Amino acid sequence: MIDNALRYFGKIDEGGIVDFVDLLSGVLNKNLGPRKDIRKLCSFAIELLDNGMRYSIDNKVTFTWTIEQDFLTFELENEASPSDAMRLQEHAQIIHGMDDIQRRQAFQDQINSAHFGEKGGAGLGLLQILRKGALSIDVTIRKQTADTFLCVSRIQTPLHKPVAL
Amino acid sequence: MKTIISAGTRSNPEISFDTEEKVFTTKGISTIVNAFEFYDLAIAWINVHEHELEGDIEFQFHLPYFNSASMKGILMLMERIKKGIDSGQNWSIAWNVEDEDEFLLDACESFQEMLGIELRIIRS
Repeated sequence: MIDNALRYFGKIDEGGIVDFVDLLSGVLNKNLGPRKDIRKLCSFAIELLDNGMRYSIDNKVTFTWTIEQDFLTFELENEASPSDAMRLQEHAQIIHGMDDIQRRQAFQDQINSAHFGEKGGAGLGLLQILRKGALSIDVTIRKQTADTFLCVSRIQTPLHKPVAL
Repeated sequence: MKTIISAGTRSNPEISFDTEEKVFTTKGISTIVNAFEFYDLAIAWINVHEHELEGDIEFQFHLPYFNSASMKGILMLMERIKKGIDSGQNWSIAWNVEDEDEFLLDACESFQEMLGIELRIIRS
């Protein structure tokens, strides 16, 4: 049974991400009670929306969250250029194949490199999500036109470990 | 007197320096796209005003939420502060943690590990 869900379609910008975080944090507090990991769960949404904002070719996204039983799921759909879409999918596959030690090393390497991506990203978002305890990240891409792909990024994280205050 | 280095908005923190309290503060949510440019401005300000930052200066960070691009920008700023410490400035870094929050404590631990210095935790 779904306990809480939200679906948004439209433009996204930096301020819009803050609006989502405010709402999500309120919803999580209400549904899950006081926990020490509410900000961590919200940070997963921040990273997904941040990717959508950077790579959506029309600045529009479809963003969904669902709280169902012991899982919180975020899903983001956006249209992206073929190269951005393929890079995102490849990046997700690579970090999914890493163990904890490799992810930790990849994080250290990436954050310490002086390089920011072409669109200002740090290349750390998906890595942080998996390092911080998300169960899975699935990225599927589908060609829409010669110049656009639809990207669907889905993150699922367990909620079964409440942290007592 | 408080000097505003970068004015805060809903999505970027305010960066300021209080000359009387001797506190350099970065405070607010950081979900900015151009984190490099944003934090580089603060680094440039420190480079220009380093002579005004003599004595015991605490650099306080109070960031309730931030994206990973900002984390990299914050690290760049902290590395500049550490460079000052290494060259003899009596500077220190403090990190604000609300409600013993896991995300903020983890971030503090990561910064300490990457910088190789201890951050004073301000619990609120």
